[in-house]
Amino acid sequence: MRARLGHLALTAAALGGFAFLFMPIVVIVVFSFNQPVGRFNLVWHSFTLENWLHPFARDDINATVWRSLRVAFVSMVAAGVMGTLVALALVRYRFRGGALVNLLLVLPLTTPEIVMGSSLALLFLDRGVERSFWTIAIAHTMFCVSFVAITVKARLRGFDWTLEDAAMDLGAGPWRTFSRITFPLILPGVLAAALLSFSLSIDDFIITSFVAGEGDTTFPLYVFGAFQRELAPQVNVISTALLLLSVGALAASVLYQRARLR
Amino acid sequence: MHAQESRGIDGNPVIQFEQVSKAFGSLAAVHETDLTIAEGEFFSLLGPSGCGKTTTLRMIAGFERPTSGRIRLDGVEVSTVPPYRRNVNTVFQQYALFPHLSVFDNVAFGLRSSRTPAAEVRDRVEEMLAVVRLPDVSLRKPNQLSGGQQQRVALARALVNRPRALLLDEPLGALDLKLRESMQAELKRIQGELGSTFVYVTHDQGEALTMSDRIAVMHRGRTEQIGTPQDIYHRPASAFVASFIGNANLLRAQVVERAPAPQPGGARLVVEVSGLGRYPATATVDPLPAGPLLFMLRPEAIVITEDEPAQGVAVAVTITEVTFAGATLRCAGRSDGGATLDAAIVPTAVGARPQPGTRMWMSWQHEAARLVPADSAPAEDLPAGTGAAPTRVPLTTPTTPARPAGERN
Ligand SMILES: Nc1ncnc2c1ncn2[C@@H]1O[C@H](COP(=O)(O)OP(=O)(O)OP(=O)(O)O)[C@@H](O)[C@H]1O
Ligand SMILES: [Mg+2]
Repeated sequence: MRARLGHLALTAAALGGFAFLFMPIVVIVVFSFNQPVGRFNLVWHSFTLENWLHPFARDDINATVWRSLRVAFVSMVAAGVMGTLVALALVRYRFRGGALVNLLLVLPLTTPEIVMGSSLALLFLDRGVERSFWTIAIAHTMFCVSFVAITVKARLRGFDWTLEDAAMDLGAGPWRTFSRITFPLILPGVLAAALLSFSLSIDDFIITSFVAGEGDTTFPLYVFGAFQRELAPQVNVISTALLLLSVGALAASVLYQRARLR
Repeated sequence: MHAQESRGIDGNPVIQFEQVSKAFGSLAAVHETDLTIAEGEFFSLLGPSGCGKTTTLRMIAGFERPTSGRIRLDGVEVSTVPPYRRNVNTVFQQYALFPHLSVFDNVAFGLRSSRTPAAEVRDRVEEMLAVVRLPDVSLRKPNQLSGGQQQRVALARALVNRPRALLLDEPLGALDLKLRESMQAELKRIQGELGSTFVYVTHDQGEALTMSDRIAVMHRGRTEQIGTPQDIYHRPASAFVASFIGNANLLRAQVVERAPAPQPGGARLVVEVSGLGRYPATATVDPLPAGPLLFMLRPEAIVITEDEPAQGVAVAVTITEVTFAGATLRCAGRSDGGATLDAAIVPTAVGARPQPGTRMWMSWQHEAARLVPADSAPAEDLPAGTGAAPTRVPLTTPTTPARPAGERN
């Protein structure tokens, strides 16, 4: 009896914890179905599918979403390539300064974003670089490289390097060995890392706010800025869609890796 | 040091080592090795763990560069040629099959690397899968195969390229005993069928003896002896070879008398064996190096009788231990001088069955007794008991039979 009560209490506490964690998300999702009165989608009025049927009704919002997607894509590709190469170098070869590189990789993860953002902004200002789409992409690439390198490195730890010996033994030069053997085998890790970097980029606010040019508002910057004037339900719709997208990508990568293991 | 080509090699030399050394930092993994491996030969590199077998093989394949010396393939110096430009192929110990490719694509990998036309790739892969007796699995992935099947795929993947030499690094190490034995026969069959040159790394002396045309016995990066299995078994060039290949009684000895003229197969000598007395023996190397010598007698060369035999040479012993070992009975006997001899006898219904504590005669044909140099390896390398007591299972934990004090070298 006592044990049962304890069990119930524990379950309740756990559920409470989850509710606390996910409440804001639930609110966003629920309010994407609201028919707001006035400019602020903050008070529940009535249920509607109108927002979901016209998610791209607002051109100003669309432009920022499109920009965010482009930034995320560019930094995903750039960080994916560079991070993978860094990881390969660190795991495959012992070289002087390897330990230092390892340390430097962790730095962007632990440095407060506000420090990174402000120092980047200062750097661009000092060098006379005009802030634009590309400064955002560069900044995002910078912190995504670390995440990619660390994720791919973890995947490479169990990699059987005799497979590379075997390929070379069978007459494959360095490029064929990489493209036919090493790369296909580490691809799942690289894809997982790329997805991670995509989602890190698309929701970044602090660093972006320092390096974005005047007309280069990303979606998170737009939401924050618009917050004071209005809150369109399309923001909820697009946020929910992004949420589904990243959860879906995560699930897909987990399922894919499970299928490969079998 | 005592490396010797005991017998001339027929056929063209495929692989040649000239004074090849490989050092990792201060560690000499392979030291000044000379080797010649002939076309069509089944050549084994045999030695205990860490003696440099894999390093030697990796230098042939091109994964390691020699620190000094020259390696030739078909007479062409290849010391700096990368692995993908050498016409040799390797079967790796853990097979190293490509997990994301089907069996067919695994086997076809080498042919496709050399841009063989697709039709020929198909024919040769299928032909090779038939040679290794693996039909009907070509669409499977390696992890859907048993260990023995993976082994065959690894073999097919290497052999399909028709390499000048096939390099095998303990290819049967991961298989259980039964499968191991049948794969040994398979390997010999395939080698005979294709007439290829095999360089086979193993630390299993039984495997090397049954399969090889010639064996190089390695120890601490040095080639102690190169010869046919018979050579190596009957005429070991060093105490290490004698104790690593099979079992051997090894007793400290000194030359007392030399035969007037050298005889084929080594000079006949009379030696003073510590704890036994004076016996004839044949030297396994000629000339004998300066330094300590050991009298060697294989346990199975010894016959045990109750009475002093009329023929051969004999010593009276007290039986100290009798152990049942399946086909043979292992008997240890101590001479009056305090030396211990191990004998492996086949018990017969009528013959004497030694009992511990009884007085018996141990005898042997004088040709069976050999004199081998003891100094080829630093003393601490030799299995414990060398010089005073027989060695049984070398290089595992040595069993140390009771031995009289003061007899140790
Ligand atoms: N890449 C390397 N770096 C440093 N030392 C090495 C390297 N490869 C081998 N060695 C050393 O060289 C010596 C010979 O190694 P090798 O792998 O050739 O031995 P082996 O005869 O194949 O042994 P095993 O039967 O255990 O496989 C060993 O002492 C080993 O530790
Ligand atoms: Mg080895």
